Amino acid sequence: MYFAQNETRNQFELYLTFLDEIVANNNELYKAFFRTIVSQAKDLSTGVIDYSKLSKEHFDIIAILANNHPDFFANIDIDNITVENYQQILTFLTADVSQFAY
Amino acid sequence: MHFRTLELNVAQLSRCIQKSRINKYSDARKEKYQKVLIELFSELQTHDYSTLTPTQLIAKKQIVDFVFESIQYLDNSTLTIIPFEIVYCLEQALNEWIPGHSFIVVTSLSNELLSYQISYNLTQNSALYTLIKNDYNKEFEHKLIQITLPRYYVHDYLANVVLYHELGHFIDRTYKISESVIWTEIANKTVVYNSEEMYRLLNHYMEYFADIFAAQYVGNASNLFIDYIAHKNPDCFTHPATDKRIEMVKKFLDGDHTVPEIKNLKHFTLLNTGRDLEIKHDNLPLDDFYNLLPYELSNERELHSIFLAGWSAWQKNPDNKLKTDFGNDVAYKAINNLIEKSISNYIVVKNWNS
Repeated sequence: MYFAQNETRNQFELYLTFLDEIVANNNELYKAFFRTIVSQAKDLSTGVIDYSKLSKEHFDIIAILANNHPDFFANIDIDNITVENYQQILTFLTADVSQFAY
Repeated sequence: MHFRTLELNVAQLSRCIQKSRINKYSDARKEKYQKVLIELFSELQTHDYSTLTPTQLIAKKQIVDFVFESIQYLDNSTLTIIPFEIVYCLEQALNEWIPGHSFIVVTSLSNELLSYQISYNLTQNSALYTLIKNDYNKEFEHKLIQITLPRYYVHDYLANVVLYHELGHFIDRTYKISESVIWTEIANKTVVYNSEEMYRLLNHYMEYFADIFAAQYVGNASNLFIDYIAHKNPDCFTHPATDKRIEMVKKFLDGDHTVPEIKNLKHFTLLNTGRDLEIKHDNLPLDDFYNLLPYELSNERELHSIFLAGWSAWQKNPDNKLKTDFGNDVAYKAINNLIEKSISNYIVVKNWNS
């Protein structure tokens, strides 16, 4: 009945965990997990796709990252996402999550 | 979060798991799910939590919560408790909107009289399944859709039309329909991101979608019940005013799709799902009810229509022959039993012919 904010927060907590692991240990499974997110955030930022075309699985995080940090994602090299890129995404997402109003 | 508290939670879970090991299910998929769940729990029991960072502890807690939630809903889905007929109807609607899905509908009973809800955490947090795979190499072939309904209404087919509304929430969340509407408003700068207005608008759209989704199958039956349990409720953060909800469903059923909310929801439903929000029920004649006969339902459209027929048979006055001949108590039991019997017969015939 309610907008599932708690479940969204749970999901975002895990996104942060995965980014931590990528930055600390170069976890390939989590990097593969994030590829769609980063790729579609870029496409959304540059207008290649709209919201109806976003991955439904990662819709929330893609929409938030693209909306809040369009320049970063518009310019990211999808074929060569560096550890520094992931560190920046982690910083962004940490700030975004802390600002969830509800 | 202290790691010892997490270890306490794991020990508490151990007691629940022991009781649930003997559960029997009619559905082999639940048996398999429980098997993997117990294997996962065995891994959780032997894990050393003392070395984990705070972020890792939070992640592990989510896995423990996942096992707890799964057990809670599986425990209530054993042979003697599950309201099989209503779940069957919901599954047909689910199959239509998410063909080839890997979900299992399970139910949990609440002692609260009007506690209808659906939980998404076990279906839509894909990160959780990736975490489980990464940490323990366990994979779940299916995911549980958890529907909670009041214990006292578990076999009430008139009240449980509300479950179509709850399924609507699940479809909405799966396909991000209301969210697509809101994000488009944000992109058009008509709504500010992360504002109270944004969340309120999103919540209201989600309620409108769920109401309209249900109305496809059960007509205004859900409206009749909501008008009673939430009569004249005003707008609030989580829900539109009841009168607005009733009016929205009426417009949808009357074919008036000019209202912005209906237009937007139909637009993004079609874009995101490839399917349209449209009438998916008929007005069945009431003669069989009045003659105390179950319906011979011919297809899925008629299957879903039985709920509206039940409400119509109850509401009609002075034509309500059941009421005048037998009184309210008997009329209610008769209608309820006839709905159940009609669905049950449909399932038997369908399985026989398949």
